[in-house]
Parts: sequence; C-alpha cells; structure tokens
Amino acid sequence: MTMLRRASGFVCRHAWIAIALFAWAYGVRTSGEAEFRTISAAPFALNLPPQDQYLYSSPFTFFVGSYYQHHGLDYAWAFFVVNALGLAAFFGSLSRLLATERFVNRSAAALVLFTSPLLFVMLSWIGKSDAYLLAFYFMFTLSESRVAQVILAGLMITCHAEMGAVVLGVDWCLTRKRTVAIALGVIAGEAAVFTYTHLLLSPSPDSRVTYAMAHAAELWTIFRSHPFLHLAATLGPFWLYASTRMFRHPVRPVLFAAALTLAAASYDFTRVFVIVSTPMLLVITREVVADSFRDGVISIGRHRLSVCALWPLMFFQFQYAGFRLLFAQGVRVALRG
Amino acid sequence: MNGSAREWWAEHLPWIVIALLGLWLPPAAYAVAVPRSWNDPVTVATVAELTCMSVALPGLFQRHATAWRLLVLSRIVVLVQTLWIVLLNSRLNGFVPTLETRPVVEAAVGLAIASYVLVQVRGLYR
Repeated sequence: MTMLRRASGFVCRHAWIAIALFAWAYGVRTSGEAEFRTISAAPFALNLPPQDQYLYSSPFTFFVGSYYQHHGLDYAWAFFVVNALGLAAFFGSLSRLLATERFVNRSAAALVLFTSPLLFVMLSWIGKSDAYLLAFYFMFTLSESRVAQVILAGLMITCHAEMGAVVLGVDWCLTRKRTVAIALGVIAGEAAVFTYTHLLLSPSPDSRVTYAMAHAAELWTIFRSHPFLHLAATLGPFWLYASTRMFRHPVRPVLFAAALTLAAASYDFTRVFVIVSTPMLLVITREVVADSFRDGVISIGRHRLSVCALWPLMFFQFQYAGFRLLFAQGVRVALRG
Repeated sequence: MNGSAREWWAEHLPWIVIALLGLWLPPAAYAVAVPRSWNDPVTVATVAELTCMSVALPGLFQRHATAWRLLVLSRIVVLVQTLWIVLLNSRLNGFVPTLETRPVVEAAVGLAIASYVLVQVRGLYR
C-alpha cells in the first residue's frame, strides 16, 4: 500500500509520466488527411465537395501546410510537421500556464485537467486545428500585452471561426477581463476569415451553420436517443470535480448549457464540448488544486480524497461522435438511433 | 519607435523567433535530410542562419547582448545569401528582372524590418 502511495505521489509530481502512459494506452488517431492535402495544395481554389466545405473557415493549418509544401515538403511531411508543431505548442503553452502561481502545482493541475476528455480529444483528432486553437488561447491568457492578446485572439479565430469566438466568449463570461482585446481580436479574425472565404474563394464555400442546419434533424435524433450518455461524455471523470463546483457561480451552469447546445449541433460532440469549455475546465482545475493545497485533500461528497490518488481516473475516458462511442486505441461502438 | 514599443519588441522577440523557427526549420531540415543538398550554398547559408537564431534564443529571454549579436549575424547571413542569389540569377535573367523576383523582394523587405527592429532594441540588451 505504501509502495502504491509512493508511486502515485511520484506520478503526481511528474505529470508527463501519466500523459505518456495515456498516449501509449489510448493511442493517437489522425483525421482529415485527404482534406488537408486538397486545401493546402491549392488554398485559393474551392476543390472540396459541399459537405466538407465548412473546413475553409478554419484556414490556419491549411495555410501553414501550404507554406511547407511550397518550400519543398510533400503533403504527408507537411501534415506531420503542422500537427507535431501544434501539439508541441499545446503542451508547451499549457505547461507554462499551469506553472503560473494561479495553479499552485503544475503537475497536480495537469492531472486534474486531464481527467476531462481534453487529452483524449487532443490525441484522437490530430489533423484538426484544435491544438493550435487552445495553444493560442493559453498564450492569450498568459500574455499581458494587449497587442499580443489581439493577435492571439485573431489567430484563434483563424484556427476555427466559430469555436475560437465561443472559447473567447466563455473566457470573457468567466473573467470579465480583456474585453477590448477579445473584441478587437474577434473582429480582426472574423474579418480575415470572411475575406478569405467570401472574397478570395469563388464561389463562397458552405459554412458550418449551413451544414448544421442541413443535418439538424439527424443531430437532434442522436442527442435525443441517449441524452444521459451525452451528459456523461461531456466531462468524463472530471465530473467528480465539476459536479459541486459547477454551481459555485451562476454563470457556470449557463455556460455549460450553452456548450452542450453547441456540441449537440455537431457530430464531434465530446470534442466540441471540451474545446469550448476549456476556460471553465481551467477555472475548476485551479479551484481543485487550490483546495487540495490548502487542506491536503479535496472533498467529494462526504469523502475526503487526495488529488494524487485520483490521477488514474484519467484512464476512464470515452467520446461521443455521431452515433458512435469512441474508446482507447480507436475502438468504436455504434449505438442504435 | 517610443520606449514602450521598444519594450514590447524586446519582450516578444524570443516568441517571434520561435514562431519563425517553427516556419523555417522544417523545410531546411527536410532539404538537408531528404534531398541531401549539403553542398548547395543557399542551403548552407539557411542552416547557418537558423543555427544563429536557435543559439540566440535562450539569451533573448534574458536579454543578453550576445543573443542580439547572433540575431544580427543571422541577418548578415541572409544578406549574403540574397546577394549570392542575385549574383547567380542576374547572369541568367538580367539584373533588374532578378531584383523583381519574389524571393529577393521578400528578403529585402524582411531584412529592412528586422534591421530597423534590431537597431531600435539594441539598448535593451546587455
């Protein structure tokens, strides 16, 4: 028992061990290679079928990939480099953010945060611009310069025109800070994406809203069939920490409901929910680590537990995507509608 | 450039260098590793430029004058590389058409901006 406690304490001080173990156990999955190849080869030509054209409103990774391809890399290497740099930026900026005094203990904070499906989402949707979106968000929260904040907020929008704006909106609702930077960044980013999709591309690609409207009936059927499963898939084991802290501030349940609605309007339910809820996950993580640091333990119901003992919970993850549940190593279970 | 603008550039210069290395390093590494173009002077100059920038990086966070000098050196390497390209291509295409090509225009604009910023922030590195 003492050995187990020591081992748990060691992992709690070195979160990278748990992250590496998680990556080994769950594996990494890529998506969207064909679309990446098509857009990055010719970013100013509309070559995707209508059902995939919403990808043009997330141009950041495609432009970086296009730059690499114009400088000699083939598309497979460009895809690898773009996504490897995205993950490096994600982990690097998150590590810097959690190292600030706000989070008290970087390793413990990382283990608490990754009991949510965030790490699973990052590793199973490689090819999406989520890693860059969140890396820019973490840098945005770290930066004290308004000019840098505007640039980073604008870059978030170029990663994902809709989710970028929502993440910034959630951050503003929780903190009520950086109002001007968020407003200017969103305006600049949306203007850049609009210029690209509506002025530089001809004809204009179909938007995500058009896509969601066209599939609204099916998306509603998916959500209605398994509402509790959807609820469980939002935060996974992180519910243990969030269940009581979610109601500490009236704005949090409202933001949760908004994120749930947005996620329900997409096929990548867990992915969308976790990305747009990241500011809230960080706030709750900070509270959990602060409670743990102050009292030595955290209270969950009538139980008092050490945060260090709870890190194995991060290995109980699943995602909801369309009519399927996604588990470790790409295992998928189809659900009946 | 006023004092706060200089301070902003000095504070963010390491991050800008990291972003530029993220853009420039993979194609250079690919050119060296895959087509093995070791003996191309342009590739050698690119490797020298990126090495200077990478070595300067830790010192830029601490605002060491050595790091600033390494960044200046990296820009001098780019200048030499651009002059080499101009010299080589002007024999084939003529001098004025070579000056109008995209790589030369990009290098000239980049060098002008980098030189201006580096001269302005010089006093903040000791």
